[in-house]
Amino acid sequence: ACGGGGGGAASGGSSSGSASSGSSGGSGEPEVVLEFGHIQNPGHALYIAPEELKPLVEERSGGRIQLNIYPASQLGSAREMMEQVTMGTLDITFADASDWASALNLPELGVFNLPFLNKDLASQIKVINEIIPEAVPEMLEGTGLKLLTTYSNGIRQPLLKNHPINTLEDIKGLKMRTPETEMYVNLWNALGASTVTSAWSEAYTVLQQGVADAVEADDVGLVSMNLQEIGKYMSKIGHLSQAYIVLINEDKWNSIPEDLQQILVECLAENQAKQLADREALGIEAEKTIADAGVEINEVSDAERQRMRDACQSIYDKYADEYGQADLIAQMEALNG
Amino acid sequence: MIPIAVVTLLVFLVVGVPVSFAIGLSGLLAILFGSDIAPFMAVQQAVRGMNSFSLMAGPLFILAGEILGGAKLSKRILDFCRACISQVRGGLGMVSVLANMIFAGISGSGAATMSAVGSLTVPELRAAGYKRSFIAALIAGSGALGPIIPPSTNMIVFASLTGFSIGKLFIGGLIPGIIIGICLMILCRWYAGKHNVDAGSGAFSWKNVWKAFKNAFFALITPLIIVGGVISGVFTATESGIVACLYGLICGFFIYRTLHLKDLVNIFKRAASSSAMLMMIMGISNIYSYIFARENLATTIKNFMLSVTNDPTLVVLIIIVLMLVIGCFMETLAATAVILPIVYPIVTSLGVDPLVFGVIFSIATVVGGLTPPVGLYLFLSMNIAEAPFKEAVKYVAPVVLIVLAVMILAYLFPPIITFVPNLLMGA
Amino acid sequence: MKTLLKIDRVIENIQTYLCMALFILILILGSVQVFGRFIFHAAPPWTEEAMRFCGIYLTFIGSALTIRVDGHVSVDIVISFLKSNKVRAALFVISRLICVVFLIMFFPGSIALVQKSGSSLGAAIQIPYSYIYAAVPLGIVMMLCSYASAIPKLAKQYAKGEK
Ligand code: NA
Ligand code: NA
Repeated sequence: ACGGGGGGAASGGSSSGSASSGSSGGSGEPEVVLEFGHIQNPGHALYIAPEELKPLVEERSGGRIQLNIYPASQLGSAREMMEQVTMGTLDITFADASDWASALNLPELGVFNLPFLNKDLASQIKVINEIIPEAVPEMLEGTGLKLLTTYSNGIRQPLLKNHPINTLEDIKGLKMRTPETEMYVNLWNALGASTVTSAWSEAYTVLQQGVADAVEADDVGLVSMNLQEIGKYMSKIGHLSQAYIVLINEDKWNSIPEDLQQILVECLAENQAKQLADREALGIEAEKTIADAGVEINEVSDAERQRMRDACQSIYDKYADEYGQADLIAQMEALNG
Repeated sequence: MIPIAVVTLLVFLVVGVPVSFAIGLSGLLAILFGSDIAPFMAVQQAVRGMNSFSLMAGPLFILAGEILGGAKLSKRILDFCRACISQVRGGLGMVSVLANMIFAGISGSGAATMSAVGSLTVPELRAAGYKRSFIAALIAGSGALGPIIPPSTNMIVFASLTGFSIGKLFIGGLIPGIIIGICLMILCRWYAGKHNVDAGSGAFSWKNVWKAFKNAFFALITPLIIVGGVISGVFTATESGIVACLYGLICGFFIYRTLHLKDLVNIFKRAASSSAMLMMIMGISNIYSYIFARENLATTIKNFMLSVTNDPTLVVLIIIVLMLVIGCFMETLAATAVILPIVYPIVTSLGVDPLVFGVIFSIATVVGGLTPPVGLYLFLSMNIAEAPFKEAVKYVAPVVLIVLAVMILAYLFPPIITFVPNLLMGA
Repeated sequence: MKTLLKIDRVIENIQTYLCMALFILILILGSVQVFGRFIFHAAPPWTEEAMRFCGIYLTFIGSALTIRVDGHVSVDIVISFLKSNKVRAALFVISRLICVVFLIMFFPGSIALVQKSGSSLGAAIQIPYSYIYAAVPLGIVMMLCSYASAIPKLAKQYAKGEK
């Protein structure tokens, strides 16, 4: 998502393109070279996972696979890299489910970004482990893309200046800064807030100067912009869950020898498990930073959260009726327990 | 790919191929003959370089400058400055500098500032006894203030390439810009004293100042709207460009009635032409950035640089000197688009404040316009002042020294840059 | 000759008015964004994307206008040190023909990109990206038209020593 969890809006710069040819242990040229581009900058929670995947894959395959990583939007914005993977000029990239939805003209993919779908990281991880591996490959049929794995970019929460959110009524009249993504704007409007869209790099100024009186992002993203310095309340309503879907060009995947595919699958499972665990740890750390800065953190009752979700019913109806995702939505909601 | 790209680029540039197309063709040749990348990737990358909302502020401030110039607001600003300081020795020179500073607060590019204000001041300065060579240097210098005093196309470019806040960069340029302006005024005083010209005329009166102020009121508050809007976070830079254009149209059509519908065609035509030049360079140089990324040049350069030194000041110095040298020979925006994405992460990883680096870097790109043999502001001012190259260059030297000195000063005492933005917009 | 000049005039007018229309559209979209926020406390999420798309078209069509006034910056050290007008004119023609070569070589890629990007939609405005990438081939054609007019005109000026 543009301007989502920190540094997403930054383009261009990068420090460590780790696309070196240093593969270990192998004899001579690698059999398979995979190019993995993404938008995250060093320091971001999602920057780490690909960096860890690289040595894992190269070692396990004895140097038969070489994984080149191009971080920090070096090869394009999320949008251009998604196009590149579709066109086969890049092998792998990751993006938020709703970004893939528009880039691939597959609106049903946006179902994973429905408001109030996952109440916390634990239920998001259940979706990532149990639902996405089943549902996404089906949705991707005919696109020329294959699901490689899914990472977590946390759950988005509002950070507010004037008062916390305890009930749906507390949201009415808020001026919320969001990225320029339709789902975010629609969601806050449905809840009765007005929205100010801005580049992520301007979020601090927008909140500080009172152009908006709240911002929303995942905990790690909020801390990366030092927003806890200005915000006074963080209300954990968990309005949006960000599952980062990693896709590979299907032709590329099919060109990989079967034994190497098997090694990749194993490495990815290990890498994903570590990413999900790390994300949880980073989230706890970020929440502590936010609390230490004097921000009052509150939870909302399940009943109140349900009222907020019901206020967004029109968005759910669209995904249930127009895109035929009613069953999937029910399955995912059941995971909230 | 890189050898093909670099060698062909140098050949094309020397022959005089326009920079954006030279970069495009050499990049395309590198992709075709040095890689197995599909050539349509070059097209995608070029469009990507233009597909940026913050970059859109560039065309909008260019248009704002054209509209306000076309509405002859520059003349009112000039009259106001005259009422304020034309009474002292060197006063007419100072008037031209001050008027340029105010107009710089409206226009994003140096060229628009120079043609709006510069051309109006030349006859007067000539009549007062200033040499054409000095006038040219003075106009060039105050034109260079255009992209240092906010709004600034150079800073828009910096921000769109790095993702750093445009608002903060804009405000960071304010104090350095004002200091350079004051130094240029002191230079006028010195010149007028040394050559015994322009002893100043008339007596200062608050009544005249008030009258001129009322006459220029709507022009004078434009910079406040733009800067104020950005500081308060009410508008983004791009939106303040929109506001400036609308405001200019309202001034021109309804308040001063100095604009006519038939003027609009030329205003839009000129603005479209300069905007396209800027955006084309930003777009097409992205083909190079893509090639460099695929060849992992950033890491190579980073490792090389850090093997030479990891002292932040020295690294910044190397980058700035590199930009100054490149700036001698070509329009620096193209070089910025290619070099900045590579060096910016190195600089920030060494702990340099991106705001300080951004302002310093932007000033360095402005200096390129002043330095011979190739300098946009230099050429334009020679044109406006009708001064031959050899003479104009003589007085440009002190102007360049002033700008460089302020740049170094600002790096050594960062509060010059950071104080206002941090005070108003948070650290 | 006369008809050619007339055609050139028509093309220049098309380029001018397209640019004007795009600029005005950008101003309108931007105003909707700014005033929407102040007056209705909600700006539509698609204005920003729409402005960027107009900016891309403005760049490619406006670039054709830039060519007419030879406004694309170049490093003109060599040409400024040459004495003979004929040699200067020749160098001018060669360098601008290199631009023509670039535009022609860029063309097939732009068509390929348009064809490949039909299923990719904008994030806020749900239109296929092929419509945005179409600015490139359109702009290339416009720029080639401008060069066809500008190269002979400006070369003559160089040859006569007027430039
Ligand atoms: Na300016
Ligand atoms: Na220069």
